[in-house]
Amino acid sequence: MKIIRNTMIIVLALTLMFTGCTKSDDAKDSVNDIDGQTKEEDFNQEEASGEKVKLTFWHNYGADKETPFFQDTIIPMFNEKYPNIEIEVVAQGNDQYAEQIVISAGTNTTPDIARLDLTDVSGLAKMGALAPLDDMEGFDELKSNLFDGPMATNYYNGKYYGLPLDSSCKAAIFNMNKLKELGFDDVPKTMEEFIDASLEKGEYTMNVSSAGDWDFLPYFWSFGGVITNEDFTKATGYLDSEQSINAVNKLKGLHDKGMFTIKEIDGSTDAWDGIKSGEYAMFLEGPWFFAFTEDWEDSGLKPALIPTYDNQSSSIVGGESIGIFNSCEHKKEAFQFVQFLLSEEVQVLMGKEMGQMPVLKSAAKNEELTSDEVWSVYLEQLNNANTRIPSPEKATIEEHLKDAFDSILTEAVTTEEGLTNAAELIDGVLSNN
Amino acid sequence: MRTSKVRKKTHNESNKIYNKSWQAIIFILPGLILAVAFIFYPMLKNIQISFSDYDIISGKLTFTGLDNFKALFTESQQRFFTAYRNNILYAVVVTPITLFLGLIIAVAINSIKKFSTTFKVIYYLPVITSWIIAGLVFKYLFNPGIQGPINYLLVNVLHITSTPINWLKTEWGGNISIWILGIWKNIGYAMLLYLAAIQGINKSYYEVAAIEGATGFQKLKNVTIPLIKPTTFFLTIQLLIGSFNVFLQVLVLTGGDPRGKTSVLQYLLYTRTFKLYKFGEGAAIGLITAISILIVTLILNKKMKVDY
Repeated sequence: MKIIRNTMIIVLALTLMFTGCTKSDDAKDSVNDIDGQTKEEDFNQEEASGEKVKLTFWHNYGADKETPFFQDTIIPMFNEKYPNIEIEVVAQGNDQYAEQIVISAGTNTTPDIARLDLTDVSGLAKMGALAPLDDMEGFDELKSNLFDGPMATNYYNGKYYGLPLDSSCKAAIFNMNKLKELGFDDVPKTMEEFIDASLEKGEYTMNVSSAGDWDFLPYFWSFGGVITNEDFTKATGYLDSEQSINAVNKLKGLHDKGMFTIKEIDGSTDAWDGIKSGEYAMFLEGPWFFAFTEDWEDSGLKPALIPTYDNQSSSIVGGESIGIFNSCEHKKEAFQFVQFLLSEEVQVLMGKEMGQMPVLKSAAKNEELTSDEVWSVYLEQLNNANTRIPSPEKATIEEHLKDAFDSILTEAVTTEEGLTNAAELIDGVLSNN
Repeated sequence: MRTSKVRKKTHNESNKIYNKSWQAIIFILPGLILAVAFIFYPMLKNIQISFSDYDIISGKLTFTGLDNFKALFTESQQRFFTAYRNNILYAVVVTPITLFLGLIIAVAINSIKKFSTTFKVIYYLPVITSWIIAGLVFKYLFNPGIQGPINYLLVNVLHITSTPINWLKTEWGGNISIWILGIWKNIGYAMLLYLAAIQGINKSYYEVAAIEGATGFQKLKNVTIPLIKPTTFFLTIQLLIGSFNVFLQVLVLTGGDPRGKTSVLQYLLYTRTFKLYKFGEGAAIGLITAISILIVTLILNKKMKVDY
């Protein structure tokens, strides 16, 4: 009896010890993988034996339309072309997706390939979760056909850790009924004429959800503001420059006059509701607005280029990238899957059927997309869409920018103080990159 | 001869104690293993991470002393101090109001003869409702525009204000919404425990009070409240500890906006860890929260003397 009891305790203790040991060994393996070379021998052995390679792909496509099309059309197309590679597609949903990737990286349970928000790539690269793709066969050819803006967001510390998969930018959406009230027969080409007409009428005509970068930066840039120098290494002298101060003051002036409202600060009607009801004449949004608003034509809504201010207008680049994780044992096959998704045929198909804006220059010129009323506007707007600072600390930078714009618009600080403080903080972050 | 008997007896007794200890260990072991794996080890690891720069992929920890704490205390918007203040305010506002309303409802339900079970169920329903669902309902109620039922009531029905209040995106509007949700969600729990405590009071106390000519209020003040003090103590500790663990209502209702003015420690921990990937700062917030709860519990244990 005593022997049985003691044996049980020893077995339990040993189980506990070995469970811990196994995990750390796995961790060691994945670290050794960073150069993308160590598993090459295993791959060659499997290739020689003709075994089917299995890869896991995580995505956050929408459940209604995007996921079924991806699963039922895109994946079978890939299987037909690459019968030796099996892709296990895991739909993770959009909620807490980025957090889930981080947790999986920390627990060595990452997928082989994943769709990632383009602003998350450098952060995951800094952590050591993603594999660099520069040395992959066919990388340079692929890169030359991709838009520069989305491509730049995948760059970290001298290497590309992802490739853009789909892109998005904001364009203007006008309510033509409201424009008529303001005296326009067609969409205004300049911000100056639109502002004059709106102020004359004394109404709320533009709205954003918050002073966060995705909402606020297109206006900030359009009115002449700049955040950093061209290579994203310095904010002082740019974010706190006279032209940036003037841009924010212009927006603050419009906000004070009630023409430009910010839902988070003013509690004003949501932009989507307001544009549909005719409360707002214009707001900036991505192409998905039209996918979710089937009756947009009947409601008098129209997509158009963002009106210019002082002969310039700017949009913002959004979208997703695709990355291969260091834990992937079959990086060559994983890259073949990436190449397949970035082929013109698939990019056009995903654009038409899944509402994913192509990232290939050749796909963007495809007549099937350029002849579409909505896509033609967004594809043209993409040419003057700016990218946000590609940094592993992007969330911290976003926080500093939002704090600055929020404080200025709520008059907690002056424009000069807010921008100077933010520039110094962002410099501190950029120096750690 | 006698000595050897005593020795044998002592030996047998120590053998028995040894056997009993082994038997106890066998029973304790499953729980102990779980506690070590899921409580003590993470606790120690958290302390270690809070003083280090943590590389999540390799698991490498580089000792950085108090750097994580310094970063929290010197952040430009003072988010840590605002979050700590909000936790204290939540405790100060939500705990007494929940206790008071819970007690009143318990006394009321205890005094009625019909439908008491129905009322118990109605008041307890919020407790078993998911925080996320309740949060979404409150988000709808506190919608910033005129579409929000609370704003509609204030502007169009009661005419208290002419413009709708931006409840969830202002510092005090957001905090008040979070407090109201906390109170609404916890009243049922306080009510149920108070009801059990009140029903456990010997009826003879009330009979004596009635003979002495005590009014209903006097009975409540001098009989009920003193005799349910252990329950009040337990609930106070529970609610105060709960105040340091406020998270979901902030996540759903305000997201800490504007500029972290409605944030709380657990929400700050979440954003520092999973949004900014600052694992050390997140662990430091966790450690400070644990120490705060420990101090609150020790003070309450000392100050609230309970005669059981």
